[in-house]
Amino acid sequence: MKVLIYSDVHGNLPAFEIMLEKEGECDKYICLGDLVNYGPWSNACVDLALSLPNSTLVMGNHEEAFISGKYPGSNKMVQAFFQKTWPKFKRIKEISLFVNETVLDQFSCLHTVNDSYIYPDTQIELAKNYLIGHSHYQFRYSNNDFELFNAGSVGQNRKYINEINYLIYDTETKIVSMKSIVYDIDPVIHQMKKENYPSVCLDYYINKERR
Amino acid sequence: MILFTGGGKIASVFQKKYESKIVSSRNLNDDELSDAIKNAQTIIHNSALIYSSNFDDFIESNFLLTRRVIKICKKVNPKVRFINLSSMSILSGDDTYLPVDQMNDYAYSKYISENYCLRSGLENLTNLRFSTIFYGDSKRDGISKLIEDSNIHNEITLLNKGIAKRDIIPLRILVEYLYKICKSNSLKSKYNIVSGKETSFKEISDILKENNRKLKIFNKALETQNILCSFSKKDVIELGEIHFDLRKDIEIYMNTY
Repeated sequence: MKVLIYSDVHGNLPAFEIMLEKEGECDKYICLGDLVNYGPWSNACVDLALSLPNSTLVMGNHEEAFISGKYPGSNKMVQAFFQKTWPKFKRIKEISLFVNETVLDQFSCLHTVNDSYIYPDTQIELAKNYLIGHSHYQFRYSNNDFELFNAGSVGQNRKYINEINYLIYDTETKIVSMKSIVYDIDPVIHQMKKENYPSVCLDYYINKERR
Repeated sequence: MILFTGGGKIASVFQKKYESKIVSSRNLNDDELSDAIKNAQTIIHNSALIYSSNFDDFIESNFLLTRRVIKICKKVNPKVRFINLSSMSILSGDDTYLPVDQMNDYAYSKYISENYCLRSGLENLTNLRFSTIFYGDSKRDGISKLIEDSNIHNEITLLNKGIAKRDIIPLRILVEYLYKICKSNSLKSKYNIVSGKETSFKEISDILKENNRKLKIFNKALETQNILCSFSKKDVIELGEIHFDLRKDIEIYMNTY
């Protein structure tokens, strides 16, 4: 059985569609949270995720913020994105039903561990196997004979803005594959400009390093 | 060979003086454009859309075309000297960009094109921004239009008593700077080609009045957008400043009627 595990789409519908087209039909889909905010298509991303067969949607911190109507962090750029995207969001009921955690064979699938940003150099004592997202960096980490895979981000890669990252899990072989697609981010930025995103938001996408 | 990627007044005036070739990159397919580019020593990417009410038209004609030309350069002629004709409309100062949310659709398309050029990896690439060009063509600039109105109708209308100022550079001078850059051994990533002098429309009307005693000057009050007109001359000094007297250029154009 082929399982597509993805995270942090962040309202980037073109990237989401490119990933789905590239992988073709999968038997199961797990979203590790943060479908919403940043990009211009939060509603459409929720709709598309819900339309996938055997789809499990995990709650991310941005869904929590959308439900509460307030982004709790102090980062001014994220606040600016939130002010732009949240008023247009119409799927509160749908995202309220997202789960906190799900299990895939030996893996616990959740947005992140201990509410933290987990990066490749983060020291963490693993007590079980994890599939997570949140930090927008794709990597594999292991200790104590356990593994942690970060799926990376579909819609807002923080290393290379024009790269889509996700995971494919094969339930027969139990192998997790880390996947990457380079795509054209510019139409996303043009749409943000069309929708009058503030400079602080546009600059982030325009000036981020690309592959 | 110097290759222009589009037609237009700059290319045609340049071509009258210096050997060069003009292609219409937007009308060539990739193979045809590759053929044109692979033999060029210098490419002046001047193809651009200036007027449209449609955001997507600007993206198509300015950004996507620039990206396509650059990609072909990287493939068939990566050592080419690439001169991207950018725009002052993207600036809020000599080397400061206007906040992106304050850029109009045209400026945004030129800004992301310049940004793309800078990140392209082409080694010999520069972006040129020109101040207000005095084309000597009433269809292209407001100064020429004033001169035409003065010569033909003996009357001109100034907005807000002509207080607005511009940094004005005649097309013939701009072409000389362009040629200097074509011949330069090392290119900076950006050049601002300017006169370094602010001239008000009132000063231009004074020149017209001196040359046409019958001229009637009317005034119209109108809310207008501020246009950046105060620039440092450091780039033109580096290139070797070409001195000119705007009054003489205006008088020469007046006498062509």
